[in-house]
Amino acid sequence: MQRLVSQIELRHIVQTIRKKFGLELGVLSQAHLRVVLTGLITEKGMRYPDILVQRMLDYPYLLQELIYELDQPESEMFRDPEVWMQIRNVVLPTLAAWRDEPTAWIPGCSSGYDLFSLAILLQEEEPGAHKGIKRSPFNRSRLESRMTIRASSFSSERLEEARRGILPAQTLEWNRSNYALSGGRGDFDHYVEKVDTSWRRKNRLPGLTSFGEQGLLPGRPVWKADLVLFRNRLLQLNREAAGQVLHTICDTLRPGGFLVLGFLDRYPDPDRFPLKPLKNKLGIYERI
Amino acid sequence: MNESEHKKIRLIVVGGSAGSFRIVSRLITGLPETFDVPLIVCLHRLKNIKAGMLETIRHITPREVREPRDKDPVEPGTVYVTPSNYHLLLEENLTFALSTYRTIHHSRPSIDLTMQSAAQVYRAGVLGILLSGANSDGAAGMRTIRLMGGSTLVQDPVDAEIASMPNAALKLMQPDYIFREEKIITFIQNLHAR
Repeated sequence: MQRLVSQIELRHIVQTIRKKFGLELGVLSQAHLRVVLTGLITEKGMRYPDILVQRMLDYPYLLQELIYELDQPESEMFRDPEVWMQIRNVVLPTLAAWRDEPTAWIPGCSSGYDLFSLAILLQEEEPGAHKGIKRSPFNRSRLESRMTIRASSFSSERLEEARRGILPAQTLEWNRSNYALSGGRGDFDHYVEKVDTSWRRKNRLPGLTSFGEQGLLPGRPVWKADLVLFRNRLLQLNREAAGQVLHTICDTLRPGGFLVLGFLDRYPDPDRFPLKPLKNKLGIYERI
Repeated sequence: MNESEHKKIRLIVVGGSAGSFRIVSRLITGLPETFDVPLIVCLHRLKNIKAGMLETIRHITPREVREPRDKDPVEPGTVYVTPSNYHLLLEENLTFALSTYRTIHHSRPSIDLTMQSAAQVYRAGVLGILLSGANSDGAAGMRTIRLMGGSTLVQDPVDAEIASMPNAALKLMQPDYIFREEKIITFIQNLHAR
């Protein structure tokens, strides 16, 4: 990668894109934006960032490429396997015990790696697992059949990858390893198939899964959620935008619902957000 | 390095991979008590092994050692260890930014990204140190630090356990210093002594 885009160049790019395309990149972490822009400029063989801006004005498809690059997916499936083990063993059984028809929201789902990870956990739900949850009075059917999953992202191309279940070949080994470490009960390869030179999700997503587009910052939906997966997405936002999105998510979460952030996302300020961390500091919070 | 160059150092970034941990440990334990420059240690790490490095370093020094969270401020005298499976970047307001961007030279954390980011923000105030390692990560970062007016130190390849990383840097740029291990340690200690 060549040298990172400078502060002045960055400002110019943000202003031009705002003015010409109405897209507000100022909500993003400047450090993150610099890296993504530099990566795109390097990939296109451009020597100077100014060339990218000029080309974008002449060829607007380049803006879609930038949006695609900005909408970075998680690095692999079941990233931070210990978190997914907690989702498998605590979060989902709790929802299974206490919610009739829970809703999961994955804003910024990008290429769908977290969505696919969640789908596998739902498929592997053990019958009666929720009975281990204290004070659960109900005998319920499997969560997979009654959980609505709403996935949204700001790149339509990434959403399409999520719909089609495309997985880059280079992540396959990590996906397998992470799956096993997260308590995976079978063979990860059971869930994927090779198609030409890439891999694809083999199994269907849960029947109540839907996809939708969103802006750079997810807007407040009209429905409520019981689980929000927003892992390593706050990293991509500046501090103010991150706070704004946390407010949106908190307003969307029902009390007793769960928010799963990235392992090293900044702790939400307890004075500002009604979130209580689950123990083990895995980035999982309960809405109080 | 003359006194004015010493004074301008506001951030040290140490990059390394295989064969570098011993020097890093010695470097940290050798820091004078009043050493107040923040020091970032960017070592290639196994993805799913989160524990171990931080605890080991904490064990050998009373100094504050931590893996920064996203948007944490850079604090004087603190040793920062880049977290496993994240890139560590700097913002203009002197806070950390973590990133899960794709790997660079098959590495995340990437030494290049940390050094390039630090150079953009701290400019002449960065001292980049590149140690032993098995790939070319860090070479472009060191070049950027030099181009932005910072200071650069590469471990002498004949002294490095694995010379690939220092050699890659030397192919790309001319550092201010090429030192063996002992000289690197005393150089950093003396950085503050003046």
